[in-house]
Amino acid sequence: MPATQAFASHPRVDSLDPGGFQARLADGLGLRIGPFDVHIKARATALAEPLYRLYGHYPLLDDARVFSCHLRLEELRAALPKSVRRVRFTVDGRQPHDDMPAEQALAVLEWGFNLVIALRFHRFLMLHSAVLERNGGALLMPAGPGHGKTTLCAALAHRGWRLLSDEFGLLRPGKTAFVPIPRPMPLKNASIEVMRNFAPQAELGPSIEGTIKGTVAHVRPPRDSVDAAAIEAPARWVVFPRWQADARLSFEEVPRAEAFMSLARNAFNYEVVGQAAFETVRDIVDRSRCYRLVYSDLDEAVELFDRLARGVGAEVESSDGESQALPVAGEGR
Amino acid sequence: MRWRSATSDEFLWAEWDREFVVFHRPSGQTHFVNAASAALLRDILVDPMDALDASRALAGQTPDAPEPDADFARHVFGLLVRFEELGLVVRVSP
Repeated sequence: MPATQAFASHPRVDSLDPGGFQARLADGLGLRIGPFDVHIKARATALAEPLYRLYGHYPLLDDARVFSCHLRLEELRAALPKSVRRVRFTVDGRQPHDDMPAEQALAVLEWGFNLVIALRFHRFLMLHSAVLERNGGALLMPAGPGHGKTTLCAALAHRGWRLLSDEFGLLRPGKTAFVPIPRPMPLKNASIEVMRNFAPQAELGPSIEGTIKGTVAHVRPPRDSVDAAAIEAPARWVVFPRWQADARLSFEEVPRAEAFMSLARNAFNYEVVGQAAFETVRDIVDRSRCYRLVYSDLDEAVELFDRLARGVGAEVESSDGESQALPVAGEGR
Repeated sequence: MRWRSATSDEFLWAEWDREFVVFHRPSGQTHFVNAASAALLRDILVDPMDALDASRALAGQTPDAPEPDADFARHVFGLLVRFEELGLVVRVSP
């Protein structure tokens, strides 16, 4: 069976009613998330409702399979006031960190799953990057914390780009097509309101206050992106974005050797994968155009990406203040 | 003091616009190197050489380059020591 059809006939989470989902979640249920079969069991009052909304489009799995991992979230001190309740996250029976406030259950589960992916699934080379697709080509956006990666990713996912991931550029070593793993996108602090204004149709989970990253709210991935989660996308553009207050839009080409090193340094497991990682990143850089973007206005940045995808030239300011033509899309070399 | 580069099958190279990235198989590490360092590792230090000879060979790759002075030789010496720390060159007994 072609990979694109493998889960088409599976019932989705939203085929259950919310009560039925909560009951299944308490007993344990399987979800297909990107290339992973994930078993989640959770008894936490703050979790079932937002999880139902954010994962409504995902294929439900039966229990008769070997899962990629078993995630558990258990509420402790459930009889006590909310302020002192805790949740315990475990994966395959192991507890990777201390118990966390129960009101942060959703964020704890999402971060916990990130941790599991990054530490365990080394059959993939994992670049630390958002990945989206348009016109059959993948846009890679590697960036550090605070650079506006997730905000930009969520915005593009609501303006015609297909979401592959806001966090993981998954590649099979030796291949240059990205493996989708669309998941809820965690906006932080001021970005939450920015996104509400930019895409009022976007569905957001609850605002979770007081986390180690401040206030967090997750954006539900568009249904089209979840439905197309088995369709890989070959690398075409690498853009290093950086949000900077009041900055004028700036977009310029990055030398490929520099792009290579930035990708390799920011990968989760480059050195674990070794030589195959070198060859894969080299091939990604070879076939991509590489740019650096500085932006402050989300609409301007999204419009620039639209032109990039359409291969339409435009005058854009580079970091030295010079105007330059926006290079057209296409194969790098 | 003389050095030679690690054998060529220990390296995997990528090059874009005279900038180089090299993967060193024994260490599993990747290094960004400029054209001069790439020339030292790929071409010049195939035969064991001291810093002065290596700096002359490097200068000789540039047409009309002046004879390297002591500062340039010291710079190349520093490079070779760093390369040795990284396992990219080995010291050869006289």
